Amino acid sequence: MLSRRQSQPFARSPRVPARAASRQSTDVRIDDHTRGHPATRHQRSGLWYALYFPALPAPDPDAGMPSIAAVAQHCQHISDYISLDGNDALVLEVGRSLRYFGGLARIRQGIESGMPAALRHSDYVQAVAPSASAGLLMARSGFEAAIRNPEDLRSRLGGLPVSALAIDLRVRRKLTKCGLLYLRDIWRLPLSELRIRFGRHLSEYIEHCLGLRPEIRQRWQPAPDYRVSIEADHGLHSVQQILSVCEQLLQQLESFLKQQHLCTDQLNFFMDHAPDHRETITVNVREPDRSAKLFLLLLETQLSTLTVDGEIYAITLHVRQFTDFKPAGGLPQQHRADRRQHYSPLLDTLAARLGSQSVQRLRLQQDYCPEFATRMVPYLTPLPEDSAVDSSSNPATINQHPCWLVQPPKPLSIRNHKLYYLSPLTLIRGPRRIETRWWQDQAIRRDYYVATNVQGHLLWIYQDLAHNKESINRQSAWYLHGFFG
Amino acid sequence: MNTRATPDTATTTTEHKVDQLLQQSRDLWRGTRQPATNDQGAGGGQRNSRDFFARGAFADDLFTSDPAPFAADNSGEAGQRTGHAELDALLPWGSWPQSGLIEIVNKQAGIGELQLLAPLLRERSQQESSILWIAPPYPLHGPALAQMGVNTRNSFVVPAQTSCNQALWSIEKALQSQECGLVLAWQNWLSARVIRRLQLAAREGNTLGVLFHQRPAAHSPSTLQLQLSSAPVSEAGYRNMDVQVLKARGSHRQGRVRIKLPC
Repeated sequence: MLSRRQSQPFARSPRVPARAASRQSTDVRIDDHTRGHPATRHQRSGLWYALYFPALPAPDPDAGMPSIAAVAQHCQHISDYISLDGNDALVLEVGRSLRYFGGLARIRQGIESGMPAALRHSDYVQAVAPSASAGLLMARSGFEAAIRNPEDLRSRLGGLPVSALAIDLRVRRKLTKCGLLYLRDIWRLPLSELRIRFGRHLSEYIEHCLGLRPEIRQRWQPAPDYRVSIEADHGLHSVQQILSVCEQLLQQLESFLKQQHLCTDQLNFFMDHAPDHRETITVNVREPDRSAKLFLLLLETQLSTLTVDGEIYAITLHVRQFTDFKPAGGLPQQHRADRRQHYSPLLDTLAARLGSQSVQRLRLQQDYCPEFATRMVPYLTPLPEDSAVDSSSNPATINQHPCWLVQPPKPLSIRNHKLYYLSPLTLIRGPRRIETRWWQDQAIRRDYYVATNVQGHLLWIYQDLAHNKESINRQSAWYLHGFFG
Repeated sequence: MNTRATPDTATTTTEHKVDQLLQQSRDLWRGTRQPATNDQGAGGGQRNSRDFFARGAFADDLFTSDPAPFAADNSGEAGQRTGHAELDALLPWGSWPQSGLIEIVNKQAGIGELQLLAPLLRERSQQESSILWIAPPYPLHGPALAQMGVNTRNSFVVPAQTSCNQALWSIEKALQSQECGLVLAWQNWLSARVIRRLQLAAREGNTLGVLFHQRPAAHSPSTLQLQLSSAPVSEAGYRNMDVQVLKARGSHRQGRVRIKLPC
């Protein structure tokens, strides 16, 4: 049980303005406590600020939700030593920043004020402790407090359950079976005995938490961000002038990439026209590269369709996506030859001219409904491994599906009691029932037939059974859905 | 009326003309692919043109034997077989050409042109190079292609909404590039001038392009020009299609064959 004297709750009020929050008595007490003591041995040993976001999902660039890396990015102005703990927690060393920021409360204000808006309004837990492991343990177990002295750790952490420890599940169960339910139960045991009975990992973890053993955590490194601008003395009018400036930027980028042993697959050019007007051009390549010549070719192709309004007075090149450069020498000899022979920027060139959405690839999906079985996706989209060729195919067999799909299905007319598409249709195969998505409002229940006409078309038609009864006009029950090309 | 012309009867007149031409100037087409020693006999290196015609491979020998006029042009080389013996017999290479431009004229899309190309699509899609579909008339149905044995991972599509100018630019770039193993493009009609330009692009990139359009261009410079027309269904499970060779580079033969496609 925590005594009142030892307790220093670290109250958090996310929705309270930062200035108001700083006036809270708890914060003042922490502040005074921190300022009141000169730099001691404990201060030099470090003070760790832990943040835990229980509702933060796994990083997904498509979801639009900021990741823990975004928080780390923001915390860079507070500490140069930031370490991530999974995808939902981080810890930063703030002991050396206390004097500069004027106390822990100011640091908390700084962290909360610059946090991404989506995270600021979500629930998160923060804790401060002399060791990183202790800070994370407190934050992950919802124990919001600031512990200044390592000597206080035993008493303050003693009330936490063993289940909160970041250790192997089997060890946790073993501890519980031995009757060790809270950390204070563990404190009573000598560490050497703990090591023998429960393993080295547990004893080292406890030592880390109590600050008895130095802990080396992996530092978080921000992703490289390359941004270079050139301001023109005189406005740029023509595409040639723009390309000339961009060539300088690209050559600088190529030098940078070579020095860093990196390559990239996306470049952003920002062209400033008039005040507050900016044109953005994105250059994508299918395989990461670092050749200024290639990027310039793609940019030139893209600019050929662009109309420049007015003068451009500044061009900025911004690159955020980097990958490690893999030279061809790292590949086997035969692959080296293949790579040289087959790689050419054709698709990138087409995309630069037509737009990246106009160069597509087929993504097959396991779906009974024909219109959902193929999705056209941009050519840069990687395909899952399972969308491979149907190796059991045989050219002599009858095709079940047509090569062309009419989308949306075209209603067929009926003339003289016969289905009609350019000429009367003759059914030659069918029916084949497709019934799916009954769990949705738009249930699909169709009888498919193969039909032919005088023109020689082989058609894939269906009778819509799901909406047949509702339909007043019987003609609308038959649809053309594809051609066996 | 559609009649099936055998290669022998169809080429009689052409054969006669070529024979005359060869006799007038013996060094006009000099073959390096000599027949076996036993066949040379007393004639030595002198080749009888009638032997070539009888073997049905005269154009292959005559045009590909001298590489000088066709430097860097492999359009005379044999490629993937069509899968139909009658059509192979009619084509001078005995198969689809390895590279160049194939024009397929059909007034209406969807009468079996993709079925005709299925073996070619299957073979080219298994290579590392990609297949580019430019402005197909309808959306592609992936499971059907996969069922045909086409590797859809290598297939890329420029949709039909692309303007004609952009589509032509894309076709030319694709044919010039060695990244594409096969370029399939659909246009309503193209002039001989445009086709010549695309043919040159295919020659530059050593790529095979298939151009589908609705009206044949007169004096087309393409490697192969075919006209497709549907024929009545004869047997259950099969449909017929007439394929007429309007022009094949390296051959004077023109003929029409009827092929069966599964349906």
